[in-house]
Amino acid sequence: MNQHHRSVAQLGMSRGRPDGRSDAELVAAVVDRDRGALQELYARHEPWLSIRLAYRCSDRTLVEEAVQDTFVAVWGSADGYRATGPVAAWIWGIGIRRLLHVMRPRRSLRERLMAQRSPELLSAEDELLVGVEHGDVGLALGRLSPELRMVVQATVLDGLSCQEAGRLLGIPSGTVKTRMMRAKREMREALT
Amino acid sequence: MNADAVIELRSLSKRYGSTPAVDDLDWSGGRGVIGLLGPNGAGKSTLLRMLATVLGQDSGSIRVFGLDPAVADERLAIRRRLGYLPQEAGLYRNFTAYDLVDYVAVLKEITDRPVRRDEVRRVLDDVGLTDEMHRRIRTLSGGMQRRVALAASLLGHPDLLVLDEPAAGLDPDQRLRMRTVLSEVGQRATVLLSTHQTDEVAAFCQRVLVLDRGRLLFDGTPRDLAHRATDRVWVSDAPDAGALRSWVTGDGNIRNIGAPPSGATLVEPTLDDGYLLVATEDGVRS
Amino acid sequence: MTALDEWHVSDHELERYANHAIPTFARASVEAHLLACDRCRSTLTQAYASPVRRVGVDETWARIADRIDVTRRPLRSSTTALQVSTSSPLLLLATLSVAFGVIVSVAIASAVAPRASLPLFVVLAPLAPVLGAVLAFQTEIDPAGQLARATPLASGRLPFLRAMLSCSAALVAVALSSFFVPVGLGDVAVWLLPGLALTSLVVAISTWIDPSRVALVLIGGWALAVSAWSWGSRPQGIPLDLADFGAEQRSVQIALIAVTVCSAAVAFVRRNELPVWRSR
Repeated sequence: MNQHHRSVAQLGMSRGRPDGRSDAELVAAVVDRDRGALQELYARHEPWLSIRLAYRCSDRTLVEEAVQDTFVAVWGSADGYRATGPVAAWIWGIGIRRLLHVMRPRRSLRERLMAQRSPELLSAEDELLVGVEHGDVGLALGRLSPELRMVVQATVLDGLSCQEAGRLLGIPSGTVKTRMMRAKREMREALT
Repeated sequence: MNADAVIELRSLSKRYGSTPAVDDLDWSGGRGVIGLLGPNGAGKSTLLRMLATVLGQDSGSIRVFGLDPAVADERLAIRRRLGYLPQEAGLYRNFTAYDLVDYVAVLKEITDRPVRRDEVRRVLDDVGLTDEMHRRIRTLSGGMQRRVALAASLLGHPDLLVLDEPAAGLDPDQRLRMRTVLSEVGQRATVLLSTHQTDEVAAFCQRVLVLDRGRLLFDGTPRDLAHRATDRVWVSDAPDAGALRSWVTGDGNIRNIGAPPSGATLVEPTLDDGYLLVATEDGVRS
Repeated sequence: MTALDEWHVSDHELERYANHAIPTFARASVEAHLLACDRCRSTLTQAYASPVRRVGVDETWARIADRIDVTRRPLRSSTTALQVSTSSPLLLLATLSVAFGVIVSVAIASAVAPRASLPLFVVLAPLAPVLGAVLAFQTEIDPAGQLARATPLASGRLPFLRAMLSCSAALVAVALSSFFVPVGLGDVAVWLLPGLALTSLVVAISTWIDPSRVALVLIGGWALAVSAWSWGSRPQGIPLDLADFGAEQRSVQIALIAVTVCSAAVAFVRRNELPVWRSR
């Protein structure tokens, strides 16, 4: 049948020279259906994405599945990237949601409708918290109790909504909100 | 006639109106890369179409793999081992390259989907279109569109590859790549390609046929074709009236072919010289 | 320019991060930084690479490739000739145009010149499927154009299946346009039988010569035959009912059916003879 079976990974590799395009250029190329651009994005971003997702989920197969889904989603909706932040952050947004998707089974229609009623967004304060110099935030985070720290990580650093954070941590979204408020208070006190 | 030749032509003729496109052609041949040289209107496309089983002859016989294209069942059997690249492919421009090659793969009876997918990817990689495979054909350059058609002709590892001016519109880098692919195919199959550029033939054809006005003027290796002009090529400062052909070369001198006068500065013949000599002599004779 | 630009993660810290050996707050810091710094990302990629990991990475990419390397043309699972026969967008467009054209012209005629609409319908009814069949045999409607003609499938059932599909679509259009004229669906001898007969004839002929050459002759011949017949039965004016066209005569119906059956048989027997008639 196949005289010389070339692995999929080897396809296009004869190009040889490294791809000098920026991440944003690669995403634009993906919009134009450049398969090589997707391959380059994969080469650049899969390593850190796999590691970061592995911290959220100990099951390696689920992480691999989420990574796969992420890049297939990048191929399909590259036109959704707005140049408001780095490409890596956009990829992370897709990646963490893909992970949630493979980790939890689909909720019932009723649950999903109820969640639609009150969507949560990151507030400006939360964004500011992230922008503060790392060392202080790290220390401030360290002083929080474990449950508070996890909530801050999930909502602020992972960019999840309260519903999504609740699903990831296995607690109701109301609890997420109250813990978040307490954490913000404590961190503000630690930082000033 | 060679008993196990891949292609056998006997007294093959085809005319359009009163003009002969192929005129009483006798030839047989097999493995390797065979170049078909000749000016426009020489009958190259007509011959290739007949070999690709898409055109019937007026008289004479064709055998491909020992099978007769005029018989329906044998024609089908030939097509299962054939790859054809026409001069104008006429591809549907709204399909992506992948769509089109996949479609041709279905036409070539590659029914199993994973096998077909691997095969489509393989041929698109062979012609260097891996990164462009999901772009619509109308967004591709002319050379890339040609390569899509070339990829489609390579599907299924054909035993006979019939290519009508495959390198038309390709830049030198792409031509080199194409030659590499075709040379590889030529190692276990027969590749018959037409061109009107001698440098292409010189580069990688093991055998060359010169065609003009439907007749075979030469059949041999490229080296033999060049040697036809041994001691028949000389340079001078001014055009020589006795030469068959004279032209100005890049460095300002005149190059002549024909019967050299005594004392002329003879030069080593190139493939171009051999081809011109063969074509012009025949023109003079007829 | 913020402090972020000058600060990079140390190689040691990246390694600890990759190996899950880093405290939580440092981890958060590394992760936030990696989102914005491509230099540290590539350092991580190189530090983290290994032959074992390479295999897994390639496998995941292979699975991604398998999901994006799909055809986007209609009926992506087409493997049978029947399904492939529909994957010609140009034929679809052409057939729809013919169908639309028939319906619209009959409709307009019935509104503007009602007396002429019946003869127009009788002439057009078989021509729409004939046109559809002729179009199906043209090289230009195949997405792979000339290239397709040298393939195994294109020499067998494919062109015939395309002709049948195109012809059926045209017949549906004819049936719909019959509502604009005093012709009932039961009057098959008017709207269906002539179409079937002429189309079968054209398809059978296509196994010898190029049908587009024959089509013109057939169209002209049919128009003349209809005019001659109706003039013979009603010499003083435009025919107004079906009887004038001989539609109700048994002999006409039987003749049409006979032509259909014989032509279809010939086409079936010679179904592999198709493509060699091109002389271009």
